[in-house]
Amino acid sequence: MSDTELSLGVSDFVALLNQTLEFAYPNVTITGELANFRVSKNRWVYFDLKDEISTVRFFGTIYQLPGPLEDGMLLAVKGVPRLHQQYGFSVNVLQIRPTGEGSIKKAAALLEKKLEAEGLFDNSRKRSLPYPPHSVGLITSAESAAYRDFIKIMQARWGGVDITLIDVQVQGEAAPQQLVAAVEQFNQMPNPPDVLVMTRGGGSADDLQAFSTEQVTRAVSASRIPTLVAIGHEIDTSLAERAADKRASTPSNAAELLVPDRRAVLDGLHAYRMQMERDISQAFGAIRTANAQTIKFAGKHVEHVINTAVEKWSLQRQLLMAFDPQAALRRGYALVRNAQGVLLRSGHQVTEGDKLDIALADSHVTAIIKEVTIEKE
Amino acid sequence: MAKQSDYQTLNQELETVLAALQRPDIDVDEAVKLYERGLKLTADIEDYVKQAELKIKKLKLRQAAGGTDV
Repeated sequence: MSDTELSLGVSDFVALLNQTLEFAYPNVTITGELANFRVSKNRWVYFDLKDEISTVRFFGTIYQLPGPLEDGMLLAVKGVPRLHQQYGFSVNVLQIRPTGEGSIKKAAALLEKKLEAEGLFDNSRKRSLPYPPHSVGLITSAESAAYRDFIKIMQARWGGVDITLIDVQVQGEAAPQQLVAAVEQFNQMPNPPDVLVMTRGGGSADDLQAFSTEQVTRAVSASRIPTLVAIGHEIDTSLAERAADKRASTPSNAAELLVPDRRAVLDGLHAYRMQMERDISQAFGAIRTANAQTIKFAGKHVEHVINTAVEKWSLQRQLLMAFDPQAALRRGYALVRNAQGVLLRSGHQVTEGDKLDIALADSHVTAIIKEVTIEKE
Repeated sequence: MAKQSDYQTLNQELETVLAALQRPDIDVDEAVKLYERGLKLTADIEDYVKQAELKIKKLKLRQAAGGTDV
C-alpha cells in the first residue's frame, strides 16, 4: 500500500472508479430478490436486488428480460457495475435468469400467461403434419439417447424418410440461441423438410429450461414448417411443446406419431384385399342372380311376342285365302275376256261374232258370240 | 333375294295387300297380282318367325349350358 494521496476532479474520479470496477469485475453475477421493478418508455428497465441487509440498483433494456418478471422473484443477474456521472451507482444488466424453484416456476407461469394471451398456443393455429412425411428436419443433440431412439423407431416403423439433423445443445446457456438458430436455418433452406422435430430426453426442470424460454417458444410458433416438439418429462409441458403444431411425450413417441408402422399398414392392406375379394364375389353373385331372372323374363316375353306374330300371321293367311281367285272358279264362276284379253264386265263390250276366251277352274274355252241381249241399262 | 326384310316391314306390306284386296271395285288382274304378293309375304313371315324361334331356342340352350357371354 502506498500512502500516495490521490486528488481528482469529480468526473475524473468517476472515470477512474469505473475503470477499476471494470478491471476488478469484468462481469459478476449477483443473486437476490427482485424489488421496485419498472419499465420506462417501453424500453428501459430499472429494478433492485436485495437481501435481508443490502439493496443494489440495476439498469438494463427490455431485450435482456427472460420474460415477464414480478417483484419478490429470486433472480441471478449478470452485469457490469458502474458509477453513473449523475445518477450514482448501478449494475448494467447483461443477462437475467430466474433462480430457485419458486422463481423459475413463477417466471414460467408469467411467460406462459403472456404468450397464451398472444394466442401462441391456440388450437386454431395448429397445422396437421404430413403423414408420413418425406423429409424431417431434426433438432436435437447428436450425442443424445433421444437422437438414437428417434432414428431407431423411425427406421423400425417406416424407413425411407430423409432425416436431416442440426446438432444443438439441448441444455445450458447456449441452448436457447442454438435451438432458435436451428429452426430458422431449416426454414430458410431452399428445399425445407416437410416437418421439424425438436426433441430431447427427460431431465430436471433446470435441464429443460431452454424449451420454455420465450425465444425458443416464439421460434417454434413462427416456423413455417409444421413442428413436432417432444420433450421427455413427467409432469409439466414445456412452452415450446404448447406452441408446436403437435407434441409427443418422448423422442420414441415422436417417431410413432410421425410415421405409421409398416407392419400394421401391410396387415391393414391385406385385410382390405380380403374384404374386397369378398365384396366383389358377392356383387358378382347378385349380378348372376339378377341376370338369370332377366333372362327368364326376357325369354318368356320373346316367346309371347313370337306367338302373337304367329297368331296374326295365321289370321292374315286365312283372310288372304278368301281372296284366292281360283276358289271362285272352282265354285263355278268364270272369267270372260275378249280377243284382246280384256276382261268383260258388260254386254256393251261385245257384238255378235266376237271371239271370247273363257277361263274355268281347270281350263280355257274359246267361244263365238251368237247373240247379245242387254238386260239392264 | 335382295336385302332381308324385317318382320315389321313384311307385316306392314301384308296389311296393305289385304286392305287392297278388300276394296269392292278391285280389278281381277290386280287382285291376282296382290294375292300372289300376299302368298309370298305370308311365306316370308313364316320363315322369319321360324328363324326367330330357332334363334331363341339356341340362346336358351347356350344359357342353360352355362354360357359366359351374358
